[in-house]
Amino acid sequence: MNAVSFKNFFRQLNYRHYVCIAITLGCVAFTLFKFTGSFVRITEALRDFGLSVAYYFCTIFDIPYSFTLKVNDFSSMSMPSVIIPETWEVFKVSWGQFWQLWATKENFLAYLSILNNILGRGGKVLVLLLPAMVGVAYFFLRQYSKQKQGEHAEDSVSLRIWKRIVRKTYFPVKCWVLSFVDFVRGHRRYLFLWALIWAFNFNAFTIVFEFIAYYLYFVFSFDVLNLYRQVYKLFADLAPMIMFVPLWAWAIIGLYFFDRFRKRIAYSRLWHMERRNDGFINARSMVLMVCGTMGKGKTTVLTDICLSTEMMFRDKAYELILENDMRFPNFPWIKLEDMLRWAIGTHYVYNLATCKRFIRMLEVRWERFGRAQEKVFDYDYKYYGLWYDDGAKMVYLWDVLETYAQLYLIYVMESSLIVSNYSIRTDMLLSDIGNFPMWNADFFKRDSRLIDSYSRHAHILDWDFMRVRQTLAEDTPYRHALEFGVVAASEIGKERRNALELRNRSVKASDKETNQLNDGFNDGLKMRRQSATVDNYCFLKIVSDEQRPESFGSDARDLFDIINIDNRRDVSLAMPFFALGELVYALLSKWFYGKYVNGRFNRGDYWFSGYFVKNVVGSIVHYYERIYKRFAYNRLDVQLEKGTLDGKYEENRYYLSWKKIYSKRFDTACMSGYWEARAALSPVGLNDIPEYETERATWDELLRQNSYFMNELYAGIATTSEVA
Amino acid sequence: MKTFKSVLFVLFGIIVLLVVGYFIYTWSRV
Repeated sequence: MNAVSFKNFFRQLNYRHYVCIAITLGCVAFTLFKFTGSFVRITEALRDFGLSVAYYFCTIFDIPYSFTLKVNDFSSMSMPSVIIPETWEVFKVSWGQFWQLWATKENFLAYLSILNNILGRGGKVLVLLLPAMVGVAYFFLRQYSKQKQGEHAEDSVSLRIWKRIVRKTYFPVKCWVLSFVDFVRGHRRYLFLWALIWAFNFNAFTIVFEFIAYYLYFVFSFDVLNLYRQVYKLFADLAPMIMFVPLWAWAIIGLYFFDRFRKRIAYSRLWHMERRNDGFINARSMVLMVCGTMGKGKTTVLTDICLSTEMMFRDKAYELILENDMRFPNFPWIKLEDMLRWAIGTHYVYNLATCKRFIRMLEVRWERFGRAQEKVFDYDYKYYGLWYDDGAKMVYLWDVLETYAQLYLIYVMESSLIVSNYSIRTDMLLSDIGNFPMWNADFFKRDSRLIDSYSRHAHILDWDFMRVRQTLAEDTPYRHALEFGVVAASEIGKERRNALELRNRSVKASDKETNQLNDGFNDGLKMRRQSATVDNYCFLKIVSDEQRPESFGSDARDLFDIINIDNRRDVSLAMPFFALGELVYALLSKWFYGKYVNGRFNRGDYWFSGYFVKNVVGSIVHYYERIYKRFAYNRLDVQLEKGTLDGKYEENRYYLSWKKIYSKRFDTACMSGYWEARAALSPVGLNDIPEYETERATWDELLRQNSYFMNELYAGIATTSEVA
Repeated sequence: MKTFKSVLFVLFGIIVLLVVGYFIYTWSRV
């Protein structure tokens, strides 16, 4: 690099690099001028480590040695005072004194006196600030009841000035900080370097080396007596960090880890509920019907079951793949998978039937080529064998390959396994770096801002999939496409009807046109699982919902397990320790909404204090809502009944986690397309519908109802008047 | 009811903090 290009390089370098270098130099300055003790401690730790390693090997190989171990020595530098005494003996004495002192009245009163001092200081500050706070509060609150007309939807002068100041000061600073954070994230070596320097400053490396040194010493010496000294040394090494970080920063760090701790509990609880739901679904039949009155959440439960079942199918396929893999541990499965990927990519394999055909074709080719090793993926079958004894039967290699290929197809299929008559969003992520792909089905940790970038939607359910005799569409390539998957059929009773309704509509099996009696739907339902069974596991689930199970014909309904939603309990939060958040939200929102509505009624402009208060309350409300949307759940009390409706119920429960099911999964008005089209045809709206003149409807008004009953009454009057 | 429960939990939290503070204070006097 010549001088000019060297100069250009520095000129073109992002100036944020210089900021990062300045920060790095600042960190190094702390090391050199503030944490000089770290150099002494790391030297001692390396010495202790080296001696302990030497001691370890000398003891293992019985080599005589003359050096003295230093791991139990105190540091040569003066150690900072720590909260525990230097020796175990002193600690024991202190421990006894602690409990004696703990139980004394004098100590308790002294503690109360300190609390009193702290509260007193706080009280003094409060008294000093109180008049100002009352004044500001009075000014703020007065604005809400101040009537102001004109300047409609316009900012007040003070608000305009404030917004201008914010735009010129806070906003550019915020943008720069965010861009800098983004820059540092993109150049992780700076982060790594800073972490390294501060780990050194805070004796982290010293602690690690001292720990290993003591471990190597302990495994042969079993010197428990000196364990306390190690604890003391640990506290002494941590002291520089404890003393350097200010109290307020410790409070923030503490809150951060506390928040992480409670969120971890929340995720663990949500997964526990999800696993419980999985157990609930697995214990049910292949065909399920969710029932309940309007608004109980039938379609929500239906969708939830579909999402869980899809995840379970992938998991099961994965589990069975591993089982089959272990039947022939030396088979080159990667080669088979590569060939399957090619076959799937060229659409040679696209369902279970073509999968079987493909493997059988390979078997025939192998036989035709005299059982050549290269025609069976270079598997050395002469050495490793073609048969596996599972203890109950002998299993042939090509049968296992056929099973493996089908499971692999189910596992790697990137589109959703759900086929439904309404749209369901799925967001299972397939991670694949060219080897064995892995699914990520973590419903609860998806970033709501990114869901559109990796979402897939359910396949459209063509009811002809389910008909084994007559179909509605003459020529459709999709007719036999459904072999396995999760079928979600909302409002199935309205599609299939029951025997009574079909009789009333004069529907007959002998009709030429396809109808519910001659399409073979029920026969298909009864045999459907056979197409989806791989390795003795059925990869098909049909889930439906209906307000009344009786709306669905009994021949098919008898096969179903009915889940009646009996009660939807109030929302609960999986995250513990949120009481303060609840309290602040409850008090603040109750107070604010009352004031806000008052202000909206009284004035039509935007004013400074209103803007300020609304933004502060808004951030609290947003935080509260985000916590609930991520960690809230409803417990449903459900009753299980057989499709024969024998009146025998089994009580159970099902959990609906908000993050999983209310994350743009489906539209609660999933069939609203019909109603929108219908309403679009109307020339009038609700506002145009005539109103009653008084509390008592007139005869003309009653007749405008187009009611059967009113029309009958009217016919009666007409007949009477004719007779008269 | 929810607010009342929250108040109880917050009070409980304050009591726990005070008790922990008492332990730390006692140890600091030993």
